[in-house]
Amino acid sequence: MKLIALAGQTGEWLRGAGPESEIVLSSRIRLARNLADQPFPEWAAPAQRRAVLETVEAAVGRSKFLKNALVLRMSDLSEMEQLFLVERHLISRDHARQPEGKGVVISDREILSIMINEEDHLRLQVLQSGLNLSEAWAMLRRIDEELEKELPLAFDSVWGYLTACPTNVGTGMRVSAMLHLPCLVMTRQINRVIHAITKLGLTARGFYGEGTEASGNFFQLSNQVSIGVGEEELLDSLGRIVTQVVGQERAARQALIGHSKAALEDRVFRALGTLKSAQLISSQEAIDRLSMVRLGVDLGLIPTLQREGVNRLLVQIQPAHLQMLEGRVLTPAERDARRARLLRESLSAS
Amino acid sequence: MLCDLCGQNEASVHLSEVIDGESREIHLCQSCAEEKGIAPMQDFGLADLLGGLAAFPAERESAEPPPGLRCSVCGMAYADFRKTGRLGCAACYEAFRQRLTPLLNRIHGSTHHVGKSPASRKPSAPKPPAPASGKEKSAPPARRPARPKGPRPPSVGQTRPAVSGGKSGQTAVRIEELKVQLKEAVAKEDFEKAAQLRDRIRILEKKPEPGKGKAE
Ligand SMILES: [Zn+2]
Ligand SMILES: [Zn+2]
Repeated sequence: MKLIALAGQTGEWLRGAGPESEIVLSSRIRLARNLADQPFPEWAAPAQRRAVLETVEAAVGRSKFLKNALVLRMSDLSEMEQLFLVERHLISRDHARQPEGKGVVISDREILSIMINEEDHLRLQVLQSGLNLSEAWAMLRRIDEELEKELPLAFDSVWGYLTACPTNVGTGMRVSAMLHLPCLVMTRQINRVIHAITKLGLTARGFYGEGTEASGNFFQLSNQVSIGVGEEELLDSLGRIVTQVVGQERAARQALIGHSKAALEDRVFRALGTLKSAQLISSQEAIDRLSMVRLGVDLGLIPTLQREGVNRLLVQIQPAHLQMLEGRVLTPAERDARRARLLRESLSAS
Repeated sequence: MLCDLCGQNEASVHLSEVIDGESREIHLCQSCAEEKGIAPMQDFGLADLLGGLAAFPAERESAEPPPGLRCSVCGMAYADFRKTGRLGCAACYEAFRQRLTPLLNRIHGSTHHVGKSPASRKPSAPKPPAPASGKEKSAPPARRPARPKGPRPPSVGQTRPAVSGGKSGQTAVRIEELKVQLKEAVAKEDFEKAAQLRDRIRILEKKPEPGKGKAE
């Protein structure tokens, strides 16, 4: 499988299916793992990083779960290709910044990916559509158990899995879910929700990477604590809180439909109209309009459009995706035109 | 401000429509809001009880570390770690154990891993199967009406954590840790924190809520 093949397919997590998928776009579990006998990537010498890369690649090569996986070295990729992987949520922005000695493993359908030599030697992640944590954990656990038979991992009987940053020590686990909360934003309840979430030990981030503003009304909730709480408990508590937030969003949607249906519909169809006719559109505007259109699909206002189609557009309108689509580097102005054309063509039937 | 619907109770739920040209605000009391299926944040009452515990507090070391403190395996000095926030290798955890223990306690509220371990470390019987995740039916923790100001006298049992076997073992270790922290908080007369810890312990011990009579 080649990288370009990904451009033509839709990642499993964008399918728009699974529990609560009208509000929960995707759920993800990440495990941080390190080899016992090598310095952590950021402190390692280049030769040590290369040795880790080769060791992990060899272990992946022997794995039966990863038989058909795409194994790439970051230094073999163009900047555009690296950014393409970031936009697909397969690697972090940091992983693309200094590609030397780094690798990535991507399973078919993009459910599982492994970053090699990011902050830790291994960062395993499973990305699923909807709120699907138990299935994601079952899969990730299997891969983890398979790899730890092959690799001597850094583990302490008191402190658990040892990680480069003490914020990940213990389980090495981060659980997160991406939620679409347009009506909590519209009813101005979102700050209260975020505040409560923070107090429960979770963080909230935007859709387009760590540290970015929440745009398109997408919020990623994840746990902060990684030690002293078992994996199942972490999954349970995140799942419980996500379910509560989903309930809040659902109530807000009902309230808006009850009080101002016409106005809500107006916003949805104005957004759709813009996307169907714009000749130039920035990614920020596209994301905001797509958020409204997605809400319209979820409320059954646009029966001709599928949720999966909107999800796919949320990813495809990003810079590297547009350039992969066009097969060349585009200036920002060219991108705005190409983005508008993609949106017009994709939505013309709805 | 009174509720728009019943006109009797104080409005506590505020909805606003953000539509061009027309900005209508709706104010409801809690009971009318609930009747309408809008009950913002009712379930988040727990947040106030747990407040502050999991937040990442600013690092404030009590004393400067000895300048020579260094990991003999990878050569990282503790000062390097302070600068970057990243450790150099697995052995750094051993080298800096004394320093890291309070740090982990502040970040995570714990210093004891209770989750899975590599298969090679556990030649004995496999872990008991994971408890069924009752995602759809697990009710949110009940909201407690009020929290007494001062802490109860803590009943600190033995501080040595029991060997963790299954889930109950994990919880037992966690409770023991919280009790140690509770003792510290009381000693420091940090009653706000002590009250929070006590509530957390109570939740973990799954004692029925006072006045709610709801077991489990
Ligand atoms: Zn009322
Ligand atoms: Zn070290």
